[in-house]
Amino acid sequence: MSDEKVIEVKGLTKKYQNLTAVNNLDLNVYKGDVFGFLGPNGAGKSTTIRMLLTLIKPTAGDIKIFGKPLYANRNEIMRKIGAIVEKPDFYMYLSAFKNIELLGGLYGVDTSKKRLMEILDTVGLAHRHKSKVKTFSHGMKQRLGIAQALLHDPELIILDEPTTGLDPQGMKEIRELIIMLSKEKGKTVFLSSHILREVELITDRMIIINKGTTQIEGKVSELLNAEKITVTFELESSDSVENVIAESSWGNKLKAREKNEFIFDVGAEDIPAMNSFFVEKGVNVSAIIPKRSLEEYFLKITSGGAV
Amino acid sequence: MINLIGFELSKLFRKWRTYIGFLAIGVLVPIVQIVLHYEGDRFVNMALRSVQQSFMFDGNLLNGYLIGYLILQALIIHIPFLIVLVGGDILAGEATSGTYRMLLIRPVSRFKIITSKFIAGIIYTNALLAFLAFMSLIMSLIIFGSGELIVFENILYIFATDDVFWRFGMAYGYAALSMSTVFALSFLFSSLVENAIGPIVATMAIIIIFAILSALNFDALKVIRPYLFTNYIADWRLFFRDPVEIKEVINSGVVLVGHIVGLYAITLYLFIKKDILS
Amino acid sequence: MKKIIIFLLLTAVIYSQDKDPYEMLDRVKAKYDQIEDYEVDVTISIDVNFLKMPDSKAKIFFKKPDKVRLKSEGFAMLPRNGVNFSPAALLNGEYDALYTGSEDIEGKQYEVVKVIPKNDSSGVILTTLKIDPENDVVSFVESTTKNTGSFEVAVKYTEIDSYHLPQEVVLSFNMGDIHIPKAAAAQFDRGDDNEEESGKDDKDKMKGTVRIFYKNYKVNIGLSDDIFVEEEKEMKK
Repeated sequence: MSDEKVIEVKGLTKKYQNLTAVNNLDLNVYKGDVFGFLGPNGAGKSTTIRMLLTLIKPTAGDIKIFGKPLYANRNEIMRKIGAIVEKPDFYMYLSAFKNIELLGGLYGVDTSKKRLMEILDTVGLAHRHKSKVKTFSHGMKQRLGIAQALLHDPELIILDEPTTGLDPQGMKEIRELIIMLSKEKGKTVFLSSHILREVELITDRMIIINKGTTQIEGKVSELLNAEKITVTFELESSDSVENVIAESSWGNKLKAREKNEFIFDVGAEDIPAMNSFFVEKGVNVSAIIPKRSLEEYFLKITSGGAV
Repeated sequence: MINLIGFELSKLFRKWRTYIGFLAIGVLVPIVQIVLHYEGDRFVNMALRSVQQSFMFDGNLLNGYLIGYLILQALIIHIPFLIVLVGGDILAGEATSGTYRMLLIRPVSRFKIITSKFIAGIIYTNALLAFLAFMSLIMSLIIFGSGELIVFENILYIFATDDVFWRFGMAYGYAALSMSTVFALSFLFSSLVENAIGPIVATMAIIIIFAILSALNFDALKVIRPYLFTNYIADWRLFFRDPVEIKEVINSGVVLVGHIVGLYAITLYLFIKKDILS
Repeated sequence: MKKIIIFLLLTAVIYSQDKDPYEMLDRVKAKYDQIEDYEVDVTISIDVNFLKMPDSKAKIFFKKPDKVRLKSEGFAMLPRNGVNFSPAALLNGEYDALYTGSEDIEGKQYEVVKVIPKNDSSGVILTTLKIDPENDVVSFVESTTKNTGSFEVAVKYTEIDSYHLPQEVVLSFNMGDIHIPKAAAAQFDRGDDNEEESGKDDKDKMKGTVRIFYKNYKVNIGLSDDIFVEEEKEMKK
């Protein structure tokens, strides 16, 4: 990772008549990053990606890519970006080969049969290059989507939920491909997802947005630090329990209470001591659930979606 | 840009939809030719009936030119449907299939994409007309031979054999302008929506409504008539009068070119601003 | 109507009854009777209000008494009335003839005879003939018909083998109503067509001039009747 910003977004806002899809969003992606763009469905991820790719015009804000204002240098910038926006849609009535041949032609890059077959081989579609895309499964289209995003050897790759609809093996392959692109080829990857685990597995830095605004931003390693956790003690319900806690040294670590669930901001190393404390005070502990705080938070904003 | 037009054409001509028009003409024209082969004399006699009492004739007027003319006259009013079938789909189809997202993230400006699509559509329109000309005129000339052309345009015209071909050339040229206007209208509608059905229906509806307004003979409607482009799209027929009223042809042609340019410009303006949400 | 015409003509005749019109017409008839048949190349130039066409070249075949056949490589048309004027058709039936004097046309004297057929079948009410007395040929014809209006024919003759045959015929006519069917299939018809059509009635009358130039006569070559068969068939249609 370097200090060179590949994407620099300031105050990005998109308003529709009565809806603000993206609100004053700031975002920085550094060269060589695998950047995770995380948020629940409807958070404004797709709108942001479409603005980065000039499909949607921002209502306000600045976008610089490769250090240059996007709209003033659109074609120059787009030449160095490969992308999938939402689900990969192709010309169904054309073959896989013809699709990427035509799309590749728009970059003016080498679209010789050899080169295109190489790309198709990378994504495991070489044997089906003559088949029309309408015969392809979602997973195959997703892989063809990766092929079209890579065929002009872009510096920046923007992938919008690239593992959606894939089977576990397919997900794994895509993740490995992304890691390879970053580590071996030095590409910058901007990856959107609504799955925290996916972002955790492959990204270096991330941002969580919700309702069009940045909620959390930082290095994945720091944000998802195992040291910072919350622990939920499920305690025997009794009115005196709260007093017992309040009078003890753990009182100031209590973050929230929901019925008989008491959530503490503590370290993992504190769990045995706390457990002994409750036993000493004669409070029955029925469960101890440690959770990383970010996970907790993300669970909340995705309203119980898969993590 | 040439590359891009090639890109659009290769998409266009790999679609089944594009061939419906060619198929329709390819099937319909031979049927009309066969029917006229057997029944054409009756048509000629009917045309000459009014003067038959006072004149005697000799010579065969049922020839390739007449058949080419009759087919052009009969079919040209249906060609718009075949044009909008493709024109209505040319942008909206990309929205429906989601390929806007693939197409519009390339290092090619929307101006160029719209323009190349527009040109590809115009090429399709002209190819369809060229095919119609080939099937109805060239094939008829080969099958039925050439000769004088008899035409009704307020009065009866009989054109010398060597005075006909250029008229067809000009008429088809003008018809190309008319049909390009139809295409340009469907192109505009196509840019506004995400499904091809709407633009197809809307364009046909406008043509039919305008045509009815043009045909209704009320004073109030006469005032708006010059502003309805449908009023000009059948003016290829002016080339089958003598002398050809060049001033009128130019006037009508300018109106149509104005429409084409105007519709293209509006499409361009709207599409460049458009947020791609499909 | 007819009676009035006869009365008027009779009044005129009283003052000029110095030549016998019947004898005059008989001489003319005898002159034409010399021609059994002929074949001739013609150039037809049609200038009429209801039709536009280029000059056409054709062959005309004629055989006594009134057989006419037009033959052309391309398309040609010829008025049925007046062209190839032969007095036979007119003078074969019963008629009244009146001599109304002589007339000077372009420095030449012509005898003017009015002919009124007694038989209605020809459709001709009154024909004025202007006869060239030197050659006993009819140079001008003006006919009024019952149903199809009137026409005038001016004939310039050429002499071939002592036969007098037309060299140039100018036919002017103004006929009754004709109905040109409106062009079908005109969905995108220009509105202004309707305005023109709803204009004057005059437009619907057939009128105009047809000029015919004759060349390369072949006279009395014994044309077979077969040549005319097709034409008769066509006429029946």
